[in-house]
Amino acid sequence: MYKKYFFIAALAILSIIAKFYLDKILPHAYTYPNITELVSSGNNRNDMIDLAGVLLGARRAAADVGWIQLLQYYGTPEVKCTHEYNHELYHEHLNGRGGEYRNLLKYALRIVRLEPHFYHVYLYAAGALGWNLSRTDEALQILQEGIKYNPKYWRFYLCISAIVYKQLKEYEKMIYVLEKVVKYPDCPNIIKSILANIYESLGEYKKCLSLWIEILNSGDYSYRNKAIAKISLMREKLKT
Amino acid sequence: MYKILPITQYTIKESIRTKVLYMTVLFSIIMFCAVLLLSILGQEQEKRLLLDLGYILVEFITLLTTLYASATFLIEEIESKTIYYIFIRNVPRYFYVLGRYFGIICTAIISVVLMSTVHLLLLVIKGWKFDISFLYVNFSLLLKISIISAIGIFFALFSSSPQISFSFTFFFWILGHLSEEIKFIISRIINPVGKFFLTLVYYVLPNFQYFNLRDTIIPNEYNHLYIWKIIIVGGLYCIFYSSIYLSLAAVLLSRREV
Repeated sequence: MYKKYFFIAALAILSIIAKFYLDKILPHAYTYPNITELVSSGNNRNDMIDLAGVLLGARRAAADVGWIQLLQYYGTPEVKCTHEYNHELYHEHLNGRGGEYRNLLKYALRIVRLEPHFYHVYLYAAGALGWNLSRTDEALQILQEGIKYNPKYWRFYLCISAIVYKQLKEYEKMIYVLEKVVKYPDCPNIIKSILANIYESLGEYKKCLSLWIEILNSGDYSYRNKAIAKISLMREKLKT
Repeated sequence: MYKILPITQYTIKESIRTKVLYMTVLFSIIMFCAVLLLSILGQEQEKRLLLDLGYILVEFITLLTTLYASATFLIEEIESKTIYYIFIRNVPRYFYVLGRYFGIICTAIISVVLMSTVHLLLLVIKGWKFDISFLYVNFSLLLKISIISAIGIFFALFSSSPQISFSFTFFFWILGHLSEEIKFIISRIINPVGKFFLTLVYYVLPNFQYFNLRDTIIPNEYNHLYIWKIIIVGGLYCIFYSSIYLSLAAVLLSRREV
């Protein structure tokens, strides 16, 4: 009669032993910030998505949803913008509309606290904040967050040095660092487009053209129209 | 084994007869179309989104199939008294539980293989380079499913209501994924009674984060040794832990007057 209960107790002991061992090796892989460190986007519906991601063990998928929301936020022109007063802090899209995107850092932090190994978000947000919106402090903040969780991912250090050179107005050094950053295949198109715009303003149309061709060939639909327009413009400028 | 196999086969046939498998495939095709559209919104991260959301889709549909099967098949058979036909053939009750369990696992394997094939096809069409982590992730999903199936069978016999069984099992699924958060709370609690109680809860609950490889391994950067440790030791943990619930389910069934 008691045999089966002894059997169950033996199984319980064995499962606890296995759990002890697995608990020892899991922290090397499970490097997620705990639930108290999550950043609220200020929207209840988004918070529910984040919570569902944590509860169902789907943090990467929740971060992916957050990424789509970040792109939608940054891609949607803001109705009320004060660009007339802070022209440098205003980012204009191709259609002539844009905004200040004050919550961009919050959106990016929300994603990386859910999934700290989403490298692309750090670089994208740093590019947008550092150059398009001229909020270099916030750009450095997101990159420092990236280094905290991914100390071996050295692209962040390169990006930080480029932003620091921008702060110090040492543009030649900044361009040198950015040229290194864009050589990597995982470099976001936003940084490539920033460097291309810098080349354009310096009159280096050949370099600018090759970067826009690279962006067009990446197959990113969001840059397609802009890349085509810029390529034809650069070709015209090179002819003249 | 010859007594378990027919019950396993019967469970798989029952899944096909009740259209559970057909619905799984149909629903997954519709959902994959939605995932495909959603991933396009990810712009440069399209492949990543397709990969991650595809994994979630496969996991969630397999989970629902398993929860449905474990919550309804046993209870229906007990209520309709067809379970008599099995027991009068001198089949021990734990053989019956094991047969049902393996049947549910086989159904889950079929649905994971079918859905993962569709998932992989979509990824390859989008230009994704095959990575062995795809197989690791799907295998670890099956380990999670095998634990939750055992829990589901236990609750089906414990509660006698498919709805309650479904809810309890799903609750365990959530708690299993919160294990790391429970560990964090344990590390912060000062009160020894509370600490002891939560530690007990932690050891009673399954820890699904061990098998959550889609979240814990970074593509192209993972350590194969870690994954094999998880597969071997995690596999053993899965066998021990599932066996506890299956044994308890067999005890419950033997106490029942059917």
